[in-house]
Amino acid sequence: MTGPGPRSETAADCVRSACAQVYGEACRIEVVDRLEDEEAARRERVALTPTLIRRHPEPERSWVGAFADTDALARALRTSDA
Amino acid sequence: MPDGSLPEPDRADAGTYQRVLLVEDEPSDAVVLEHALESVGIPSRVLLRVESLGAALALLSTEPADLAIVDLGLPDSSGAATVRTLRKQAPDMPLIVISAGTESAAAIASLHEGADDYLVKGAYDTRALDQAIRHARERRRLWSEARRRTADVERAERQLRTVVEANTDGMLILDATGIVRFANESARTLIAPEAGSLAGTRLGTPVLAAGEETVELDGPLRDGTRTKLEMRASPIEWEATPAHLVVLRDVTEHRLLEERVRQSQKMEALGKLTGGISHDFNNVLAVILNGTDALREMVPAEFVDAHHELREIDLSARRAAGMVRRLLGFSRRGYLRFESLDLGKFTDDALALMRRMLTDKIRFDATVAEETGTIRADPAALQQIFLNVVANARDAMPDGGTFSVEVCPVTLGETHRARHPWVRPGRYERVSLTDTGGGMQEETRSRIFEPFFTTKGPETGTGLGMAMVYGLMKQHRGLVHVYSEPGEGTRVELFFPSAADVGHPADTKGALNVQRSRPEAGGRGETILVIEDEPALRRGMKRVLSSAGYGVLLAGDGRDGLETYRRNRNEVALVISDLVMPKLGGREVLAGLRDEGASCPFVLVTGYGAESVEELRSEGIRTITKPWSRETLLQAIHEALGPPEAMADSR
Repeated sequence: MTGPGPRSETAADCVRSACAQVYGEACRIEVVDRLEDEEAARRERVALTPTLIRRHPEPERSWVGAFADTDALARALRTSDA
Repeated sequence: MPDGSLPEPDRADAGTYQRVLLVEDEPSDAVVLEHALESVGIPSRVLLRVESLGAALALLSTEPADLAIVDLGLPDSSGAATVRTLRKQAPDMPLIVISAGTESAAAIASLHEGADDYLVKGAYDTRALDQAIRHARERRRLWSEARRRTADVERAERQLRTVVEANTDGMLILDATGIVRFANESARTLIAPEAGSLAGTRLGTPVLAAGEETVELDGPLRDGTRTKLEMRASPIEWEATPAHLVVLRDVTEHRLLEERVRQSQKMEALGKLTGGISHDFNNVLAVILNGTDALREMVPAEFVDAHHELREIDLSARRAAGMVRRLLGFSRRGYLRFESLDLGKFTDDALALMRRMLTDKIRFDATVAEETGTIRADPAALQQIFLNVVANARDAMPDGGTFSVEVCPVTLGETHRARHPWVRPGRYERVSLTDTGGGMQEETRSRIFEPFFTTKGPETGTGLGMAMVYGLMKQHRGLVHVYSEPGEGTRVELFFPSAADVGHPADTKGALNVQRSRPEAGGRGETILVIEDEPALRRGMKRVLSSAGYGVLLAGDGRDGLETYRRNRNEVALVISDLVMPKLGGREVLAGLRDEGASCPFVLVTGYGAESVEELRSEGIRTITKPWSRETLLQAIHEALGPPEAMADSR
């Protein structure tokens, strides 16, 4: 995400809930603020934020959106493996 | 060899050929060919025979031919090269090659170069010639058709590409896994200005909330500034697989503008709020000041302590009134309270405040001329002007510099008037505020007084500071000049008309500037109708007026007031009414009185909130402001009832 703020918080909460729904409570989520870690954003070639990158389960996949709707995100996560 | 005994060929094409080009340098071969052509329905009169490639090209350059029959062994060209050259000149012309028996390789090569068919000298008959001609025509027709269609498709594609590439919205095709399959130029500019191409990079699968068509995202940082992009995504098919069409729009400027509008609406709301509160607050203060006045008269002079307490109450109430005025100064709805002040001395006093606003890195210089004069100004407004200019100077010198203040008298000529009509030529006091910051481009300088124009971020700049300076200076009948060039710092010059030189327009007599030494104005039994909805104020007014020798009629709202007037119209010498009341306000009362044909003077009592006093006065409505004191009230009434020149003075 880019910077702190209510929108970033909403997105992080939404990602946590959606991932818990789809992958269970065991999943580990790392939140990166590109204002603080520009290098990570550049390395991952993140153009738009919020962006969600799933490392595991493979294959690596990514999503982009405001992540304000947990159900919509959970659906997108499930569809990717269908 | 053509044989006359062969069956008569189909002559359906007779008349189709108007110009048939025969390129053959060998006369005997030409004769044979002419003969054969005659027998397939192409008469010799339509034949144009030339003996070289050069001659053929020259002929074709003036007019196209319906058919060309070309020998491969010409004096200036041979083999497939001849066909290649001719084809370039006449792409749609049916072309048959006549080759010697030894040239079969060249004949085949010529087909690759665009010949439609070939015949071998001495080995073709009329039928073969006829078939070759038909074949060549058909083949060329199909080829031309295909060429035209290809051109159409290419044109359509070019147009489509232009539309897509010229679009300021970024357009992307993402495959099901969020990989970019296509991106237009705007998309590249918006999301990856440094990258050469986006195709193949991972953007991510778009996720939109249910029921939403668009979503707002953060784009890349642009010169360290965050950008806002609106993303719209729709499912499509791309190369027969599911994909997303994503449209990105840069809404950064839009959001900034919205933020500014929000900011200004906030200021407006704050103004309304402070205006509204001050109305009630001023009523309360009026009662306190009034009561204090009354008590001072009632309490015998020997009660020194009581008088001391009353003085304290009076001072505190006046301080509170000053605070309300400053609040209204912020919302720019209050009116200015002008007083005579020495600009040099005022600036001297304000220097400490200015210095506090500047950072340690900024050197501070002040030169105040000894012979500075008196101006008519509102001290609070003056302070606001200084603070705005100083804040800009500070922001212009983040790495330090020098800020200097200079006050000196100047004389302005007629030339200034052309640009600033409200400025009169004459003596002015000038305050120059100079910084050594980065300065401004002409474009910025020329817009500096525009409301909402700011070069600062949304967190720090409202774009109203200098607009306020301009407005306040105008109300002071002064003017403000800004001199600046990039890298040369900025000088703001404020010109105030000298009090000695210019009669001030808004020379108001405020409740808080009462000169107690003035002999009190009193009545001679005239009846005054008081319309005021606040009971305490109504009582206070009655007490003051009665004690000063006036007869008093009271009304609790506008409707009651008009009714009371009607009943006592011959008696009422003056009507004094509050501006804001629940039933019929002061303005409506005045209108009602005029309708009644009332000729008695009218005085409006107003808080600062509802309407600007200047506005009312410009309409010719005599106005006093809350909280009023005994002196203000009596003075206003005395003047309203008095001779005409006194009336003019109070406006």
